[in-house]
Amino acid sequence: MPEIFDASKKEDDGLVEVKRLMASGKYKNDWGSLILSPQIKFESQNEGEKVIVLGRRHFITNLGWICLICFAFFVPFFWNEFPLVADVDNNVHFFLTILWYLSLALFAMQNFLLWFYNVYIVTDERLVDVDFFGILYKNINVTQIRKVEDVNYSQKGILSSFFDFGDVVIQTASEQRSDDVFGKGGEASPFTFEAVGNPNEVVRIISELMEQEEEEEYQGRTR
Amino acid sequence: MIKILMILLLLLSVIMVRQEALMNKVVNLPLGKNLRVLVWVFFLITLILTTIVVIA
Repeated sequence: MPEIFDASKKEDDGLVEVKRLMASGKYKNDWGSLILSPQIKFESQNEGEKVIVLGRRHFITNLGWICLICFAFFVPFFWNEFPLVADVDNNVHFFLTILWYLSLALFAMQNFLLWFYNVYIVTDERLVDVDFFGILYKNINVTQIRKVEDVNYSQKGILSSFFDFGDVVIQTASEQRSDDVFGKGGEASPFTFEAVGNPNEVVRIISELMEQEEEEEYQGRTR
Repeated sequence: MIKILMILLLLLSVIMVRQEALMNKVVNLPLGKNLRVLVWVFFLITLILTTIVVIA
C-alpha cells in the first residue's frame, strides 16, 4: 500500500540551508553574530522546540564604546591638566582615579551585557526578538513562522558592507504594537534583527522555514 | 563627593548583578555562567573599594 502520510518523518528532515552552512564549519562560535543550532534555552521555549539560529549584533558595532573607553583610559594620566582636579591632594587624586576606572569598567560591562543578551532566535516554530534597552527595560517579541508575510534585509554604510552585517526586517500579518517600533528603538518592524551577521543567510533560513510551514499547512500537518 | 559617587556606583553594580541574572533567565546562553562570575567579581571589587574609600 502506498504511504500517503507518515507523521514520524516530519521532524527529521532538517533545513537544507542550515545543513549547507553547518557543513562549512563556520557559525559555531558562541561569541559570534550568527550561531547555528546553538545549545541554548529561552524563557518561553516550548517542549521539543528546536533553536535553529541565534543571532546578535555584529561585534564591530561595539567599536564606538570600545574606542571611547580606550580614550577615557588615559584621562587619569593627565589629571594635573584639569584645573579643578590639579588643586586637590594626592589622596583625593587616588580615590578619583579608582572611581574613574570603576565607572569605566561598569560602562564597558553594561554595554557588553546589552550586546551579548540582545539576541534574535529562530526556532522551527517561531521567531523571538529579545531587546534590552538599558539595564532596566526589556522588550520581547514572539511570532509564529506561519504569520510571517515577508522577509528582507538591508545593508547600509561601509562597515556593514565590509563586515557583512545588516538589518533583517520581518513583516508579520498582524500590526503589532511594540516598543521596538514606537518606543526607544525606532525599528522598522517589531521583528527587526538589527546589524545581524550574514543577513542573506538569515533571510534564506527564514524563507525556507516559511516554505516548509506552507507545505505542512497544505498537507494538513500541524506542529 | 567621591564617597557619594562610590556608593552610587556600588548601587549600579548591584543592579547590574540582578539584571544579568534576569537576562540569563530570559535567554540561557552557554557563556552566561562566566558572565555571572565576571559581574559578581566586579561587584565584590566595588564593594571592597567603596568600603575603603568611605572609611578612609
